[in-house]
Amino acid sequence: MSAPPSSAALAGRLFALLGPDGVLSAPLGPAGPSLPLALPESEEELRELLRLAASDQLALVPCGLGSKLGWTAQPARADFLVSTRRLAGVVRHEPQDGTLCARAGTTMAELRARAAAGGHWLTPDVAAPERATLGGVISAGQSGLDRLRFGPSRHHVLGARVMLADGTLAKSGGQLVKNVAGFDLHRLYAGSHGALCVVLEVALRLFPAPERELLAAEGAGDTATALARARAALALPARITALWLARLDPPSRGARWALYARLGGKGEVVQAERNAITAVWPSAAWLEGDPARTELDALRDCSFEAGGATWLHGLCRPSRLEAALNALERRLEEAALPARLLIQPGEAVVDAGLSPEAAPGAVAGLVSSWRADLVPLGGRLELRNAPAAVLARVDPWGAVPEALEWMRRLRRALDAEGVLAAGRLAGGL
Amino acid sequence: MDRRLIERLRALLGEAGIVSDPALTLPYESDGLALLHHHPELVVLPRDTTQAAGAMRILHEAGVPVVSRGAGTGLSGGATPVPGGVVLGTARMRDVLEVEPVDRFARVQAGVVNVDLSRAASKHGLFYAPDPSSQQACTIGGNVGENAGGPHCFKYGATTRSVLGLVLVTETGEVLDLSAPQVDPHGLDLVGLFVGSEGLLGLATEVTVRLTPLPELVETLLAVFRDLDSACDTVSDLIAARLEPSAIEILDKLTIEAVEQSVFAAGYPTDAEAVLLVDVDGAAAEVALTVREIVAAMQRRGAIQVRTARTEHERKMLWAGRKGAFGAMGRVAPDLYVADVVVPRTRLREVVVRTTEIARAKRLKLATVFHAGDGNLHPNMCYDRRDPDEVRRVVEAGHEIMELCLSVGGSLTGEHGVGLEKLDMMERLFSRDDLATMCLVRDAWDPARRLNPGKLVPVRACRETRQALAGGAR
Repeated sequence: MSAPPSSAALAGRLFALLGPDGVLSAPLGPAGPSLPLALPESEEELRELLRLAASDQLALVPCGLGSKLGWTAQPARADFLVSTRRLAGVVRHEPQDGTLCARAGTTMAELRARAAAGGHWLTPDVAAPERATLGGVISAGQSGLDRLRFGPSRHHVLGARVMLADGTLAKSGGQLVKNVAGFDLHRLYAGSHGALCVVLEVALRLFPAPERELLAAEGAGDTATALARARAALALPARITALWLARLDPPSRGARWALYARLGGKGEVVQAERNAITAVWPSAAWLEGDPARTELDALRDCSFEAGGATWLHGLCRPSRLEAALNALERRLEEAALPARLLIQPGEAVVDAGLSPEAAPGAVAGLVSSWRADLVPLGGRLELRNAPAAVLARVDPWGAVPEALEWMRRLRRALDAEGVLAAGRLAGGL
Repeated sequence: MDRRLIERLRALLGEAGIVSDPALTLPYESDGLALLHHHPELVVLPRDTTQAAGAMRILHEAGVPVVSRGAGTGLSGGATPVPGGVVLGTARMRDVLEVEPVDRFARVQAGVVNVDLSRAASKHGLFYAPDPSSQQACTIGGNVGENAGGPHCFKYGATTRSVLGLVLVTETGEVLDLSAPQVDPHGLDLVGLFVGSEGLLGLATEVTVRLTPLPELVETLLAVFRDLDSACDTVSDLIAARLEPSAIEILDKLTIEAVEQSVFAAGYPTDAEAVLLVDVDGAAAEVALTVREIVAAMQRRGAIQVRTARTEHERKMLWAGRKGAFGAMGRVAPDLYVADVVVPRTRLREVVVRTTEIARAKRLKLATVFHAGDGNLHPNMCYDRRDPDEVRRVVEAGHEIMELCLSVGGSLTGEHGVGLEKLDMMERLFSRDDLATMCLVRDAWDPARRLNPGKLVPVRACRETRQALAGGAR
C-alpha cells in the first residue's frame, strides 16, 4: 500500500468528487485520528469513493453517524471515513405485512416512529436512537435492551442490499417474514462493522406495538438479592420486554441496585403481568406515561450520554452471572475504579462504564483480569470507546476467535483489494 | 468408484460406516423430491465429528464431490446424489450430547431426529421450537442445512433463530468448533451464514440449540369455512390486527378429505371447503385474550364453526392431522409434488386463487395446506411419476406458481430450500451480481465447488460473472 496521502490532498480529491458539502472531518472513534469524512449523496458517489480508494490504494472505514466507531480495534491503516447518513429514507413500509425496508442512513428514531405509526414496534430499541443509523446498528450487530423479548437484532434482518468494495451491488434475502432462497449473507454482514461491504438497505421484521406500557422499579441492597429478584421475575410466565439491573452514581432508586422491568402489550395482559411481578417484587414502584418514558430514556441512553465513558461489555452464561458480577466488583475494588453498571440478567450481558479520565494502566489491568475471570464462566469481554492509551495496552476484543482463517477467507473474497480498512475486528481481521 | 478410496474409507469408518452394495445405496437415490434422482455408488456414515473430518479429508484428497444428507426428508433435491460423488449421511450420529436446563440449550449430534430433541428437552420443562411437518423423521443437521421451518416458526422463527452454535467440518476436513453458546458471535457470524447454506459450505456434525420454556397454556382453535378465500382473508386480518398466535395453518378441502380417510384422521369436518388451525400459547391471561380476538376475527369472516380443543388428546389429534397431511395425500395419488413458495401476507387470497387456476389449466389435482401466518404456501400437486405427460404438467405448473409468487414480491422457497429443483429460478429472483456474490462466499470456503455441487447457487451465473469481470465489463 502507498504512503498515506496528506489529509489536505485527500480532502481536495474528495471535494472534487462530492462538492464542499460532501466532506467533513471526524475522529475514528475516541482512540483514533481525525480523518476526512466523505458523505456521498448517491450510490454512484459511493461507488466513486470506493474506486478512488482502490486506485490509490487507500483504506476507508464505513460508518453511519459514527457512534460505534469506538467499538472496534483501530485499523492497521485508515485514510478516510465514508458515512451513509445521506443515503437515508424508508424504501418500503408494509404495515399490513409487518415489514419495513429502509436505507442505511435512516435514524433509528425515525424508523421507530414510522413503525409506531403503523401500529408496530421496531427492535432493537437502542440508546440515543436519533444518533444511530440503521446501517450502523446492523453493521455493529447492536441489540437493544428489548432483546429479552425479541432476541438479538440480527434475527429480524430479513434481507439487505449492500455495495461490495469493488462497487458491485448485491442483495440477499428480501422483505418477507419467511424466506430461505440463497445464502443469508445479511447474517454475515450484521456485526461485521463494515469490514465486508457497505450496507445500503436493510429490511426488518416488525412486532405489534404495545397498547399499554408499564415500568416496574425496585431496589436491592446487595448483588445477591438483586440477582435473586431478577431471576424470580424472569421465571414468571410473562413476556417482559426488558429487565435490567442498574448501579448508577448517584443511585437511581435510593438503593445500591435498581431493578427495572418494562412491560408492554394489550391492557389486560399488562395488568396480569403487573400482578405477577408484584408477587415477587412487592415493594416495586410502578411508572406509566411520561414519568416512565423519562426514566426509561435516561437509563437506555446512559451508555451513550456518559460523556465519552469507556465501556466494558461482558458476556457470560446466564447461570454464571452471579460469579461474573462478583468477580467484576472485586476487580473494580482492587483497581479503585468507580463504575456505573447496566446488567441484562436474562441474556447475561454486563456493561460497566468507566470515567474517560480513569488511569489507562488501571483500566487495562481491570480489562485483563476480569476478562480472565469470564473465560471459565463461558464468557468474554469486549472493550468499547476506550481511549488510545488503553488500547495501546489491551486488545478490545480479547481472544482470537475460532475459525479466524475461515473468516479471513470470506473477507478476502468480498474485498480482494483491501479497500475496507483491516484490523478492526477480533483477531485483527 | 475407486476401490482404493473405498478401502481407505472403510479402514476409517469400519463396515458399519460404508454402504456400497447397489441394493443398499438405492434408497439414497433421492430425497423427498422423487422426481430428481441419481443412484449413488457410495454412501459413508461416520459416527462422530472425528470420523466425519477424516472422511472429508480423504474425499478432499481424492477430489470427490460430497453430498451431505440427514434423513432425506428434504423436498427440493438438496440431497440428490451427484454423478461421481459420495453421499455423506449423518444417520449414525444420533447422540444428544448435553441438555443444559438452566442456560436453556442443548448440544446434539447432527443426526438426532427433531422430535427426539424436544422429547429430551421436555423432561426439563423446555422444548425445541422449530417443528417441520417431518419432525418425526428429519434431523437437526438437515434442519440446519435447510434453515427448516414448521407451523410454529410463525412465533418462534425458523431454525436459524434457535441455533446457538455448530461444529463444522470444512471441505478440507478441518474441524471448526463454534459450538459454545454465545449471546453474540465473536468475530463474523459464521453460524448465521452456515444455517440454510444447503451443504455448500461444509458439514455440520454437532449443533448447539436454544431451548424454549414450555408455555404455561396452549389453546388450539379449528375454524371451518365455506370457502378457501374466507380462510385466507381471515389470516390477512389476523396479521393486520397485529395478533400473535404461535401457528396459523390452512388446509383445503382435498387435504381435509385425504387426512380424514387416513390414519391421521383428526376430526376435521369433511364438508368444509377449508379449515384454519391456530395455536395460541403463552401466559394464561395473554392466551385468553388472544383467543377471544382470533375467534371474533374468524366469525367476522364467516366461519361456520369455531372449535377449541378441549383436551390435550384432541389438540394432538388436530395437529397430527396437519402434520400427517403430506403422508395422507398418498391416498389421492401415488406421488405428491410439494411446492414451497412465499408471498406477502397481504396477497394470500389472490395467490391461492391463482394457484388453483394454474393447476386446473394443467388438469392437475391440487391440495393446498400451508403456513398461512408466514405467507408460506404449499400448493401440492398429485401425480403419478409413471405418467410422463403428467410429470411434465406438474413441473410446468410448479414453475408457473413460482413465477406468480415472484410477480407479487414473493420468494421461491420459505423452508424447503432451493436445492436442485429451483436452481434455474434463482436467476429470476436474484441479479447476476447477487448470485456472483454468493458464489464468492462459496468459493472462499470450497474453491473446487465439491460440496453439494449444482445446488442452490447456479454456477452458470458465477462463470458468466467471472468472465464479465475479467473482461472489465462492469
